[in-house]
Amino acid sequence: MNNNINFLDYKNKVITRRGNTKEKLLRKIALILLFTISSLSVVLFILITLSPLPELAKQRKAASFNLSLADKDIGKLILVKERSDKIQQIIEKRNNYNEDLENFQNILPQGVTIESVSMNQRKMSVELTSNSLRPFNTILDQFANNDKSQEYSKITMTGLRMNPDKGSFNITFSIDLL
Amino acid sequence: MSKKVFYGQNDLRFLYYRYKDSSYYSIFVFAITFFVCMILVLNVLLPQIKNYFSIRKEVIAQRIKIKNVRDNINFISSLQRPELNSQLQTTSKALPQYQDFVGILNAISDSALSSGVSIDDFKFTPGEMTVESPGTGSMEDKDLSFMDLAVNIDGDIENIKQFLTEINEKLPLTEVINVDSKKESTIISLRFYHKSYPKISFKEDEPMQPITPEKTALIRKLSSWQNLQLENDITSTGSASIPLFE
Repeated sequence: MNNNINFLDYKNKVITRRGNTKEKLLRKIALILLFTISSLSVVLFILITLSPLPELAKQRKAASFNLSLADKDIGKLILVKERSDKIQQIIEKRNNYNEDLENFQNILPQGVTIESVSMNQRKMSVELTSNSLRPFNTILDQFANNDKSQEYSKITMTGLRMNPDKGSFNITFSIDLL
Repeated sequence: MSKKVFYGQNDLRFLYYRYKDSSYYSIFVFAITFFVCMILVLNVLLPQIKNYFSIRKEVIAQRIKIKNVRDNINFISSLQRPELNSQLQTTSKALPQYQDFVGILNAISDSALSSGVSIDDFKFTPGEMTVESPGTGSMEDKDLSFMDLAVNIDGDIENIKQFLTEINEKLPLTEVINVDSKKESTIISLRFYHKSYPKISFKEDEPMQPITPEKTALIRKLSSWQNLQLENDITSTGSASIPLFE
């Protein structure tokens, strides 16, 4: 048959073929999309249904019960820890006046005795007595020594007097302990 | 022909037959399908995914909690009960729940005995509750209570030093607040601490920790002080031969 007598335009056939390809592609995409979404939905539903949460809840309940049988020991342990924490705080922060007194006595030269001492709130007031002023000089030199600043933050000489009846000298210091 | 159509059943049928062979039909079907898929994704799939991941997270958390509870059970089972009881007894003696007057008197008399000083009299100021103001004492703790005691002792400076050392190593725990030593006598202010037992709260799924080695060493030191005190109590003779009280 001669193609020239056909009423149908040759070009339309080409366009129609292209339209069919596109339609098929769109149809395929739509089907794939539907299938994927429904499959995912089913899979997720199965996974959620089969989750081990109920079994784990049972296990936890059983373990909690077993632990509750030892609640007295747990209480004792917690108490021991709490007490020992507080005890450690007390011991670390409490005053050690015996050491402070010992350190002070170590710097006293021969011939000097402690007449009186008062210690309160990290302050020490001490009265020393001696038959001579020379030991007091030694003490003052030692206080002027930089090493003592590690033990005392402030040293003030508050008095110096002579006792003519006894022939002795008294010197008083006020010391801020570190 | 009028293009205006009324959307009834026949009209839909008419539209279908008119456009079913055209490309608009495929695009329309695809658009509808895509729209339905999007609705399914937003209303069904995404919530399911969210649910799945939250369940997974919960499963992991539950497994960790169960492991912690089992570890705690094993830890408690491994504890030496006699040692734990002894530690509790020692720490309760060092920091008692209530004021331990017998312990206080024993501590003072043992310290005096060991240091060779004699005790004249003492004055209690019981019933004080902290909070301490800074500078007056060394502790700031709303639960920590104390009682101050002023003791009048006789002895030379060496004996007094020894007394201060001894009293610091006695139970219940003491803190020397004030020392006022003159030629005639010495007044020492002591502070004895006590603390009520706290409310015990325990989370079973948090891992329990053992007592640290430092704390164990501390409790051992306290126990040695306690044992020394007991030895002194046992070996000391009657008060008549020891000039503790004048």
